[in-house]
Amino acid sequence: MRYSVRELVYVGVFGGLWGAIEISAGSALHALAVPFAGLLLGAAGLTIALVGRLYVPRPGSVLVMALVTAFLKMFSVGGVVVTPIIGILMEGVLAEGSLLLFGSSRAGFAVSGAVATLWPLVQPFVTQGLLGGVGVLGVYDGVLRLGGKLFGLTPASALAIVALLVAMHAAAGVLAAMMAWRVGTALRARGHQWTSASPSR
Amino acid sequence: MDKREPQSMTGTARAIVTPAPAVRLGLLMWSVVMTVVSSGWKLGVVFAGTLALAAVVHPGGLRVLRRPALWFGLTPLLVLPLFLIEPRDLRVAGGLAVSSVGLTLGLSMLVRAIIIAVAAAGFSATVSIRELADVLEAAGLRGLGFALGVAVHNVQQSHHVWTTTARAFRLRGGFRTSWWRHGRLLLVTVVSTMLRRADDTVVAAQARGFSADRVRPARARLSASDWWWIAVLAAVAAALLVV
Repeated sequence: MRYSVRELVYVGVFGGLWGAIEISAGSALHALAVPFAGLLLGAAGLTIALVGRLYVPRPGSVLVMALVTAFLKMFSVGGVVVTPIIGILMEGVLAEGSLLLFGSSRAGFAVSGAVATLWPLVQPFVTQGLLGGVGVLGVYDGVLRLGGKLFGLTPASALAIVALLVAMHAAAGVLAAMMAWRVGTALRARGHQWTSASPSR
Repeated sequence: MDKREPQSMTGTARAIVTPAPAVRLGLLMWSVVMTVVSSGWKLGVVFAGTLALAAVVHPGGLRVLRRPALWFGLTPLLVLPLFLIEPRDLRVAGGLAVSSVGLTLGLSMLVRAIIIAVAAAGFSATVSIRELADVLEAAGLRGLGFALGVAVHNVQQSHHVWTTTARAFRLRGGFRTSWWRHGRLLLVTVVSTMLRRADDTVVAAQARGFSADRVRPARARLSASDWWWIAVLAAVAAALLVV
């Protein structure tokens, strides 16, 4: 990781912004057990991280921001901290991987957002199913019930529920990415120039 | 030397209760990982171990248990499962029916949260951000320590900017018509404010001649007592995983 001072400061600032959301809104949403809290937080965090990518256009920068946010979350008090940390890191990994594959263009942002926000749908299978001892089938049953309730379908329409949940998560990610792109454009219009790809002090 | 350490100790005792920052990070990781992989009586062992470690190595971690805010956050973890999980097969005072499964689940969640809170509070009370930065830099993550330091100093400010800007938007009628447009304006305002502050930080760092390439983190030298800590924690973890 060879970043300029400016890029390191930007990583810290965007990590701090993402961390503030996770620590305050994240703790509240998890404590109140709001449905799809992970999706809401993931989309909000990704918006910040993708704006950050415009200012630190280097491979790995979104992952480093996620790492910084995870450390901040680790030092926060309130509720269970381990699962959000796993979520933050995995969203960072998925977003970064997609950006490496598809580039930091508008389309790349959209794919990155869509892929990363799928993680909140997958995470319960890992954390509750495998680590929590509930079992993958138990989690699948819970997801179908929640999805069925949301879309007004019976758990018998499993395939439709899963497809709708995947579409909903991906759409939230695309919206977050488009929001990040538009925020970045608006910031540039205000004089906050995006950092060029070459190292700059 | 850590100014929080007791002054009246002998050299050996002092070395045992003040492990290197890298080992303290290891203690935190040990508590978190063992909390995740343990259940039942093993979770009780991890709980007792974490409290004992806190008492010996970082008593500051136990002070978190005196904070009302912690208990305000943790109480729902215990109370909600009592009433949300069926069947409610336990009669308590006043004829109130609660779930025995919910009680077990709530207690285990409470214990897990206390372990992580004590371990994290103990770590943050005894390891400075500079020492953590050194550990991360020594692990090969060049610049991450500095970025983390910036983030720690900015997170409170970020929270303040988020809340004051959102309040100002609401008072001026924001979010009533278009969530998308007003959300974008809120984000632009918040990020713009933080970028201005970031520029000040960059100028200050450059004025001091800071460069991530020139940072030479102190090599983490582990003493004999540090290796003892590592051996004991590894042995307890292996025993809990195997039994």
